[in-house]
Amino acid sequence: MIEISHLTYDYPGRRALDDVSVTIDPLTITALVGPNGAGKSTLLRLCAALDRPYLGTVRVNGLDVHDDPRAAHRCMGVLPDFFGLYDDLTVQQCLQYRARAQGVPAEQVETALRRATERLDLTDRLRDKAGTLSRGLRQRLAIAQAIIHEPKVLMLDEPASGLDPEARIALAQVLRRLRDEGMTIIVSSHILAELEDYSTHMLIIRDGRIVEFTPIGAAARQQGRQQIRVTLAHDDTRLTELLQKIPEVAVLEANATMAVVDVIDDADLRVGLLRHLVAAGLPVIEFAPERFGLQDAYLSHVHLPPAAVGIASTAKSPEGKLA
Amino acid sequence: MIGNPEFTRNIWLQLSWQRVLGAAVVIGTIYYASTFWGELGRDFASTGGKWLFHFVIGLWSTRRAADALAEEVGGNTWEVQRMSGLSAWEMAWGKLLGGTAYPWLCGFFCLALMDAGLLARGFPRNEILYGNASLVVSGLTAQAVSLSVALILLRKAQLRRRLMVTFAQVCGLLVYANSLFKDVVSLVNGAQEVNWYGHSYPATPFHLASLVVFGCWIWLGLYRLMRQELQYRNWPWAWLGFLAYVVAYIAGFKAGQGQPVTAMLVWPFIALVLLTYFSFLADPKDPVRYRWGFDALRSGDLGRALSLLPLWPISYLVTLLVGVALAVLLSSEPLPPGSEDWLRYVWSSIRPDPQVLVIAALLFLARDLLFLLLLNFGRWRERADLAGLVYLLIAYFPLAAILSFLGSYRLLAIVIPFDDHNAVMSFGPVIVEILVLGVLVQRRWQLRTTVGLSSRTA
Repeated sequence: MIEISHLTYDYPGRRALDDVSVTIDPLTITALVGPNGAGKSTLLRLCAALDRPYLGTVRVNGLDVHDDPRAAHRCMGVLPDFFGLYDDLTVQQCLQYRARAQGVPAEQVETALRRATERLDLTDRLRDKAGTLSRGLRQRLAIAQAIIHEPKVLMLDEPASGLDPEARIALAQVLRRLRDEGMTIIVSSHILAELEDYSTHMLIIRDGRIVEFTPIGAAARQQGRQQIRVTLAHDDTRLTELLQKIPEVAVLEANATMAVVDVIDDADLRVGLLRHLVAAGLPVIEFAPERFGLQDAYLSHVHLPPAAVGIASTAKSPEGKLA
Repeated sequence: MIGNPEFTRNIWLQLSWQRVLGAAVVIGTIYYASTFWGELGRDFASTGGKWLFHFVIGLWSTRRAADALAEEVGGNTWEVQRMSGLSAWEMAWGKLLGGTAYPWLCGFFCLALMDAGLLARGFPRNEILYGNASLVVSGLTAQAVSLSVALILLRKAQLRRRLMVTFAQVCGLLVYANSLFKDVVSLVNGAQEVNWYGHSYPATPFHLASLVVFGCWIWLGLYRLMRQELQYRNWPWAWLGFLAYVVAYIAGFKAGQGQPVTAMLVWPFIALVLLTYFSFLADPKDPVRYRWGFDALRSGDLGRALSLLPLWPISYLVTLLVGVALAVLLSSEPLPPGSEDWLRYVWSSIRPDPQVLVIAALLFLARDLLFLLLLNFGRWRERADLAGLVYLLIAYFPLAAILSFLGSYRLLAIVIPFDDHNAVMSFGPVIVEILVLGVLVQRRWQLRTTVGLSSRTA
């Protein structure tokens, strides 16, 4: 859906993006994360054809966005962090204007307006001026504007900043629903906990380069792997040794009290693994899927070196298959 | 909704029925009052209507045109507009005519008041029509200038200050002032005919036609600036066309009158020098984009190189061609007697050779551009142009005047184009300045474009 190829962009004396290449699949929600100045906003601006790159291309739905920015804008929706609303226009006028500006034919404007306001629950606000709305409502109006032309791709920059918890939950629901209805979404945000609620993939960018692009949460499980945390009631030095002997298991982190392992997402395999540990006499008090959040994943890539989070070798001995 | 959503949005914001009614009532009341005062009232209606139009369109609508963009930038809606599906042309005319819709409505009421007064005074209808057309075209051109200047300032990241909006307005106002200037000229010399390429044309239609063509160029420029802002590639052909038009238009006033070619080229040359300064000042002078352009050229991507090429090198090249042609021709075709008077007025104590002055002017133009470029590649880019112009003005006027008063004529060639009746002394100092500045610019440019970049493309 979005193909970014060798994207490079400079500011005076500084390379903001350095040979960035990534392909984002349709019907996904990608969390674009990274420290300040990493290049997130530049990447979004280039994807939205607000700037031209020095090198590289961005294709959205097969269309090179820098060859014909206007045509590309008609198949993408962008929500900037400042919302970009006309305070003196009513909600209805804002949406009518945006629909026409995005190329919706005049005879279809009312249908598009009705659909967008129903999706964002703005039906009873049509006559209110945008400037009189609360921040949460302004955000909903801004999203309604961004999707009124039914774009294939939606890009959001810090959509939840300044929202109360209720509005954030509502935002997560809206984004999940939009994805289910066929949109591919990229969200740039600093609020990792919020991104975790709805993102399917995480794209970490640092110093203008992609550090990691990986599925997370349910999407990661769909790829057939799962992480299991094993905790013992008291220290037992055999834990690491036992786990490393099992070929289906990759030990990610282990000591005498606990271990985190990566296994194929298969119920029988997990049953076998638990039975094996208990049969070996280990005092297992916890055996559960690891809640390895987006925040942990991000921090492991951005702030801490891999060794610090205890990622161990995944080399296995040939023996010790699960019973 | 009318076809252009940007125009419609502006109409929603500008034309409420209360405002329309208010304007109609004010102008209607003035007209009604004037009908009670006989001849004085008719004079008042025609003159008052005209001056009200000047105020509303010249002063107010030019402000509105610049504000149409500044408000978008200030309200954080400009980026959203840039991400819409609106074309550059829709954006340009929708903003220009939509943003000034209310001043135009008031302006048309003022014209109606003026015309009613003129008709009552027995003025010929065709003169009234020409007058109206001239005012309307002046207004449209002035607004396009205001919006274009606002776009240029936006590209230079300088539109957020209100002073800059005022600057854009003043630029529009200066262009609008031609409608006042025309009146003054006809009052002073009463010229009814204009000689252009050997043909005589009635002054009023010629002025109107010139204004329309100039207005079309300005609108084209506005459209292309908008395209650039929307990240479309622009080729430099339109600017080349404009330069050619300016040369041809100005030369026409001397052509066909039995004068040498050199007489035809002097004023186009001066206009080209000014346009080179203008195109340089209008360019954001982004060192990174310059490097991209050079890289594209090196890799043989001529299309990309041309799209990244700033307009000022093109202007300088054309000025150079015309200047060299003028200098060469001057050796065989001296200027006719009297046409050098302005040179003698400037250099009253000596008799400069026009040929030397033309070459020196080309060299000093190069020096000034390099000097301004050096400042722009420095740390305070946003102040570079203004600071550089101040330094240059000091060099050209007070410093040159002080050297003249002190009798140090030999040193004048360091600061201004000067004929020392010796090629080395006339051109030597400025050539040295060009070489030194060239080296400094190249160093600073490299510093600005390579620090911190990876080795792959740096």
